[in-house]
Amino acid sequence: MADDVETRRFGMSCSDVAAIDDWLERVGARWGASERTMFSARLCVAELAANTLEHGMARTSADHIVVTVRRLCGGVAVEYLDSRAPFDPTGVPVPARAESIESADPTGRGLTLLRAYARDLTYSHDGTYNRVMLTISS
Amino acid sequence: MEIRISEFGNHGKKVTLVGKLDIAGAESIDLPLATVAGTRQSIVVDMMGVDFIASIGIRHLVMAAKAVARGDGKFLLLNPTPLVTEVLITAGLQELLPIVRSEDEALAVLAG
Repeated sequence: MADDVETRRFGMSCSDVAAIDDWLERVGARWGASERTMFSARLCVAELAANTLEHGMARTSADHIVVTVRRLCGGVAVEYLDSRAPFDPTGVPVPARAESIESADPTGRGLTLLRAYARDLTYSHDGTYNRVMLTISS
Repeated sequence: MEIRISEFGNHGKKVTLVGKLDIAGAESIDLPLATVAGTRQSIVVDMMGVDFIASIGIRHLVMAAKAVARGDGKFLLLNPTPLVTEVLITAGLQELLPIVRSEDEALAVLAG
């Protein structure tokens, strides 16, 4: 199988996050990747991007996201970069599960999903970008 | 994302969602779902047409379910796809947002 790589840069709005997902869908279709693999990759990127928009402290008006996906023999590798202030999403504690709908917090499930769906999840900051790397096994 | 709201027999409302329940989809269902949940009637959310869900979409479902729970109503998810079901279970919601697989099953739960 060819070792295909695709990269694209996006802005930091809700419509940009939707555009990332549309792009990942198209990439997956071009590659003939399994629905489950691409669904998992899309979910992880959606959670990272939502986290960036909601919690990432803006640094400049030119803040942006760069997503790179690489097709592997056994799945997909994702590199997610954002230019907002350093923030490690892998270091945030996962909240406890609620006992009832009345006590449930509507928020806080993104990192739970990210950690469940991603393998080899790593974070670093290179002075410019928050860099999250992960793989999705097919 | 498309949202349609209709009556569900005499038992409450049916909310039909079609499309991606991502950041953009969540934004588009925010007001109509909150409005119907605010009536505190039972709600059956037809999820069959939802082909993607992320935590921000889950957030809106949980908020609606919490609003319904403040009354006597029930909040059910009807027939989500296997991939969406897996996300809901992974997020720890299988007991908080009960899933039914048919309208008959939903009617039985609401009547029970």
